[in-house]
Amino acid sequence: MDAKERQRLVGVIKSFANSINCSRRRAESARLQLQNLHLASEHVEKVGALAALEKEIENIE
Amino acid sequence: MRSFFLKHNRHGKFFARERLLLFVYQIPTPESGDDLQLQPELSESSHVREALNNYEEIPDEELYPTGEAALKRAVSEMFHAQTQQEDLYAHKSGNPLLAKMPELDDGDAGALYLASETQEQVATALYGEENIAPEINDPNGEGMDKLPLMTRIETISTEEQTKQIIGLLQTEGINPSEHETNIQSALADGGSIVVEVGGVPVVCGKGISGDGNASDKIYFVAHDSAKSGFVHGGGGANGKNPAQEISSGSGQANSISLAKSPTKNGNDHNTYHSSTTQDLLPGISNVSNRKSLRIDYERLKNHGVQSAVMAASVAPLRSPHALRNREAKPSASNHDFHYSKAEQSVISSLMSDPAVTKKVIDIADGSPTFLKAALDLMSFRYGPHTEDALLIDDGDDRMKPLFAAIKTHFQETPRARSIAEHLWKTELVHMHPSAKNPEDKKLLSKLAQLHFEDCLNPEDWRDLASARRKKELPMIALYNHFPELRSEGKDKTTEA
Repeated sequence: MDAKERQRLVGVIKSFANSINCSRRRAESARLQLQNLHLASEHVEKVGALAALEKEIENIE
Repeated sequence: MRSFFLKHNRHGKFFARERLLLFVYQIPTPESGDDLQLQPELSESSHVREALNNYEEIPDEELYPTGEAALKRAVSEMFHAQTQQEDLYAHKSGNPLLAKMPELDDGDAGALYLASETQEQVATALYGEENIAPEINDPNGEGMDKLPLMTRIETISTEEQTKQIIGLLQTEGINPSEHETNIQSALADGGSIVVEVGGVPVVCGKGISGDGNASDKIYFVAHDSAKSGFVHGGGGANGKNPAQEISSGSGQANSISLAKSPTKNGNDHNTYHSSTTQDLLPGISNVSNRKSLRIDYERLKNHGVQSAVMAASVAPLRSPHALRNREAKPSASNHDFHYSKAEQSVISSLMSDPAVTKKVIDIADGSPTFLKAALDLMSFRYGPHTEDALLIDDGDDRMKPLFAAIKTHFQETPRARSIAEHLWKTELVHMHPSAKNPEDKKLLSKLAQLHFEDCLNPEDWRDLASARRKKELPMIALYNHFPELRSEGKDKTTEA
């Protein structure tokens, strides 16, 4: 394999590797955002459930 | 080692992203296909790991295998990132259908994806993104309001709708003269027009009646003229082509039932209730549980026309993603990669074929935009990137082997071919006759006669890509395949 062809192939691999890293960052960013949103929704649900429970207790009392 | 591509949903269930892609391949097609090896290798590869760590140390004999592994990995990672972003979008937008999609059976999801993407692509091809989904131009693309597709189409003049629908029919190879009068009368009465595109019923027109009242009239144009006619609220105009009440396939107008949902007090379970969570796609009416999704998939098959109309009546387009990214933009960067599920499935199929990946490596010049160009080409998307790929140095000699490999791949995988041809035909809808050359209109019927596989060569593709971008007719491809046209009109290729 001559140097030019080697240089070309290395360039191709670099290009694909950059793309891989870029996609991984996007995926990780989306995953973390989604995780945070789920945690926030669960928190809201729990707060709501707690409030309902407190109201029920008040009614019983 | 657990694959990087396994992920879990909010309920802790694991599912593989690639399963989603397999869905699309379950779409029933007229051709019988072999089982497909669709997904590029997903396990961590030493080649890729090594390449990411140190490019310069790779031995010569490992360069090609490393390049192929890196290419497959790059594609897989891209699709995975896209799926994560779609999940995020589904959560943010609160769109229950998007959230439910991964839970559908293979065939259901594949058919629904194809139906919704076809609706998106055709509606925007006919009337433009600015009329059909203007909110996708918002900076964050998440401000989707809830204006149903039908409401958007209603704002376009019936003259413009008629003109565009006639053009679509010509592109689809359907003789418009049999339908023009009925289309005009249906639109004038406030009815809807549905056209069969790639086997999928697509809402293409909606009129407003003179008295301002809504109409439930539906006129359906199918490739099979026996299936064409007034599906609902019939009434041919001027005595021509009297209405046919379609009794099979896409008919049975009165048999559609909306999903039953309880009222707020939970007492009246028999109240039929329509909401934006219903009918977001043809065939879906209640996304609250898995069982009803199954039932409604049957409806998609049996009552596709009415389902498409109902979907367009109550819901906006499914998602801004496919729309925003189907239009290749010159400024696209690596962050702009986004492909529809149908496109992903074709790319994955091609990427599973070493004969194809080797040719891509041969052509790749290491430029950062090459991957985008190659994927646009392999997803049968015409745009600036496709043109770039076809205009590389000594392009045709280097591109021909890639097209040959793609052609061979499709001979071996008819299902992938079927989806690719569908994508290709949808691109043709974007090509229009020049207003300056009224004679071009006659050429639309020729455009419909272009054969997918015959056009799998660099010269035709370059012309088709250019025509798609400029919204013109692909004169070089038309002259190549219909030489008689050269003698009939002036040779526009010399003007280009």
